[in-house]
Amino acid sequence: MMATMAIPQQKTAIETIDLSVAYNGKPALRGVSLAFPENAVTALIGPSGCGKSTLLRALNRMNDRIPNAEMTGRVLLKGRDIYDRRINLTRLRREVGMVFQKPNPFPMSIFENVALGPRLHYGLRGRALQEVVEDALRKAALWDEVKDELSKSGLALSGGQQQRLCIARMLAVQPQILLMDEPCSALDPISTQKIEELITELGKQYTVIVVTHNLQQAARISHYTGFLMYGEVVEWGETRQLFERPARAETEDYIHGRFG
Amino acid sequence: MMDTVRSGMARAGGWESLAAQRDARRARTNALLMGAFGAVGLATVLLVLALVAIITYHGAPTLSWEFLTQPPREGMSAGGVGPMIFGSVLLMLGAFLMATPLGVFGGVCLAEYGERSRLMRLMHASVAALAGTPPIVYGLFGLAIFVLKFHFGVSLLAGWCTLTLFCVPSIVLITESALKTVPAALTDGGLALGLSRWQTLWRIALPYALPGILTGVILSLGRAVGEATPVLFTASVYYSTAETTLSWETLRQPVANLPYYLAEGYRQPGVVPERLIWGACLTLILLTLLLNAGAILVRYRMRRRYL
Amino acid sequence: MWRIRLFDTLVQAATWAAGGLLLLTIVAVFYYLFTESHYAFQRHFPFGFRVALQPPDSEYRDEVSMDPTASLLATHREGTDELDDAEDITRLPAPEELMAMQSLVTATVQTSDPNQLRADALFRDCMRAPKRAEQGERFLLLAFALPNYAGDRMVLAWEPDVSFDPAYCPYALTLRLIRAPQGVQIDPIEIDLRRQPKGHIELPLWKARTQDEWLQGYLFELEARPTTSTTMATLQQFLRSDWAPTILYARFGMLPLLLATLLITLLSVALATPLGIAAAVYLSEQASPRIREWFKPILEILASIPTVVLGYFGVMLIAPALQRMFGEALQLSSGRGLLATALIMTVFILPTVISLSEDALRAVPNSLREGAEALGLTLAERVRLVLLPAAKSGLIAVALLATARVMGETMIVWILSGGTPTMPDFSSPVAALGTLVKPTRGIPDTIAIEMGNVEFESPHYGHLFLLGLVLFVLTLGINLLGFAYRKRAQVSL
Repeated sequence: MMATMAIPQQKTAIETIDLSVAYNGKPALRGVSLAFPENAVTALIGPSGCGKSTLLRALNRMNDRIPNAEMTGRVLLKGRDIYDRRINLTRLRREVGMVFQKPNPFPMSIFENVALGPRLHYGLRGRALQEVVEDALRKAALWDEVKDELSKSGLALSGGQQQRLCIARMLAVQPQILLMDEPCSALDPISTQKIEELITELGKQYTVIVVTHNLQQAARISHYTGFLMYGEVVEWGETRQLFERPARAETEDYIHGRFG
Repeated sequence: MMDTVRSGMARAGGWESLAAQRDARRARTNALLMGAFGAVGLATVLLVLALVAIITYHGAPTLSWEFLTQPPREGMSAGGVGPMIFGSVLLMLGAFLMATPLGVFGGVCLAEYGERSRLMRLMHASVAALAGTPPIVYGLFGLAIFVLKFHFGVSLLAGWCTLTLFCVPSIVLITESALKTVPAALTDGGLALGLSRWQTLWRIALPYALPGILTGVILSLGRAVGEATPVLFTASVYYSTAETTLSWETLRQPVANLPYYLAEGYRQPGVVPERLIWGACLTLILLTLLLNAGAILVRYRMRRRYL
Repeated sequence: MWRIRLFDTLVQAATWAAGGLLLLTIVAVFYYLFTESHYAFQRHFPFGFRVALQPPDSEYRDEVSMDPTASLLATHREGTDELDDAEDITRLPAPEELMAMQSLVTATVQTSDPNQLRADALFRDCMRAPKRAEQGERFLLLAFALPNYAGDRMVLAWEPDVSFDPAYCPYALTLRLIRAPQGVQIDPIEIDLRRQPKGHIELPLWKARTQDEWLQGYLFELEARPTTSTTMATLQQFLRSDWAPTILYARFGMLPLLLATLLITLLSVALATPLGIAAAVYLSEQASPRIREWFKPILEILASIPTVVLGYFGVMLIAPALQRMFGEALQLSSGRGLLATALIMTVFILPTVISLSEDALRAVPNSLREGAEALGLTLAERVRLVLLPAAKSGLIAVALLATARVMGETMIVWILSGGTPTMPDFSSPVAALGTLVKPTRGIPDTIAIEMGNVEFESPHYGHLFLLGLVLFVLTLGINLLGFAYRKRAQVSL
């Protein structure tokens, strides 16, 4: 077993230990051991099919949805294995939120989209619920744009707004870890810039893990970066160091666009 | 300032304790609801199995070569259902031969010219409406047009025409939606190879959509063969002891068929013994099962060949 | 090269031909359903009244006597069989016989002109000369006492003929005294027979001593005056609550049939839709791919079980069970009726609903499922709050499709409804229970049963087409609505 790659002098929010995932017998992740630092933005990069999305989805057990996925290894959140039989999935998803590649607002009003989570999880109603919704929308930098039309359908928003709505929806559940699976890949450059600013802002309060295929984006927004290839972590460290002085030849080749 | 709820929550033991109180109840509700859904699903399967089992139990003793081939005897109280099976199959084959080309080409027409003009949109809506029109209405229509206006009389020919009308709309819709599933990349590829539009359709799109179309055709025929209503006034005769022969004359004569035999059989209790009715039920189910099995087989084999 | 071009042309021509034929068929279907029902409007409205003079203390106090001298005034359809049978009994007894009776006489006169009365042309009724109903009708009646009559008073009584309901008659029916015998003082008499279909009125005694004096008796007139056009009358009657097309005074009120069909549809769709969606949710959200692979063909098989077979099941299993439960309390002869029909209808439509609902649920993009799951919603919450709302249009389309299918399904109703047109009655719990378990009859089975015995192109035939048209228009509306929802849901079902 490989030693867990950790960033020294950083508290760990969530860590994987020798994590392997295979779909239909084909390995997608091979023995990944990573410790994600708390209250920082971590980016996962790598060529398509390298397993970065699989790794992200393993962190809140979204891979359970896929019928023929097999998993070995452990994922520790606050010292507990989230793949433990006794773990409460609802609670896990409450603590680890996720945003997807394509904005996926529910077919209901903006307010309802954000209110759904806190109402179900915490039984909030009335004024308290309104406050939580407003708080989440403010944090997602969407409040000023939608505060007068909260009853409008979430689907009526533009793509970038929809993605921020999804972020607000996630924040309203009060997670500690935010997973983002290529959150800007379906958006135009201006929306992308807004989301990037938002991620930077969120990184101060939350543990944010972002999968991206956009190297500049990773360099702009993240404190730490992991580079994956063929289901393995090739290199892992501070973003600046990884981009400026990569330790491995593969990393350098990838960063300079020689493949991938 | 806006953080009042959040910070308040954090002081009072956190969000998690609030949520934890609800988790157990939510899990219970979930288990209850989803269990109920599963139970309904299971119940449906059991229902089918029970239906088929009961019919087999009652009908199997009657089933024999004689029963399947002999005409009824002694005023319908004995003998077999040979002419009825023969008539049902005859009706179905004729409808198959007439409805398939009409339906498939109609579907091609819709898929190709689909949403382009107001006329085609109207046609699409009409076909959709006709596909859901009750069989009894087709029966009425067949009676008015084929039997009376065209002077076919109550005959096999009128039955074929009515059944064809009944089957065509659903075949059109199935063909249309099957053609819509053909990936644009495939047809683009065909066009890029220099094939004409119709060649692309014939050589690439239709073969790709064929399993779906065939399954749909067979299923709609299965529905037609079990449906007594369209042929009720147009082709059916209850009491038939005639020899099962085929000639041009057959076209102008009414035919016996299984569904009508069954319907009359137990609306007039005491004429046809229960034993024979169960046997005829089983025969009819076997006929439709055979068609269904055919559909599943076609789908399976074609899928393997093309994918 | 020319072969390719020829082939192209052929495929294209076939496509156009099929499209054209399809369009033609659609137009023809719509056209013929509308035109064939015009036979319904070529109907006559028969009416019949029994009118007789009788002693005030007669044992027939509340009924009009069947005395050979009583008159039956009626107009029927032309050329029907009933007329031939009726002729034998229409003759009044011969004058010699009559003079010997101690009786009162009410006789019909063959003419409608009071100045052309002839003593040898008196009849017991007028069925010999039916006339076209829309021209209206006018009968003359002579009423007098014979010399040997012992009583000192006499009463003119009238009542509608058996099975004739004046309320169904689109005529103003008036019984009027147009002439009293010489020397008799009497107020004018004019009775609206639709308002007062049954009754009697006392007349001063007047005896005709010789045969010549017969013509001097009370002369009454029964007038039937159309109050509306035949078309309107036909339509008005079509909306009434009595369906009895084969009796002499045929009634074509389709309301009980329509209500039965609607009730059966409502009941079975209300049962099948929630159950079907529940099973579909299980299939699309919970079941493993392997179970799903088995489930679909099984559903197809269930959906393809012929409806005659399902109907037989109802007869063998459900109807007897219902009779065991309610038979004694409600005096049922069988359990066939609305409830049995609706239950079997549910079995009939359920597999289709499950299969189509599953398609509708699968059309919901996976991203919504993932989003809801990542939010920590339990499966039940995801289904209830996200999935079902997202699939709403598709599911509504499914329910509408099921409605149209059930509404037009014929064999099950034919076999299981019991065959008696009944107005639903929900005025009390007992009545409601009775409505559910007692025999009824819907539109499709009425067409199926009666088309077998009907005379082609008769009004009855036309009315069956009119029923077909009602069914067609109802299902057409539902289908088009379903089509619109289906388009909105972007599902092809």
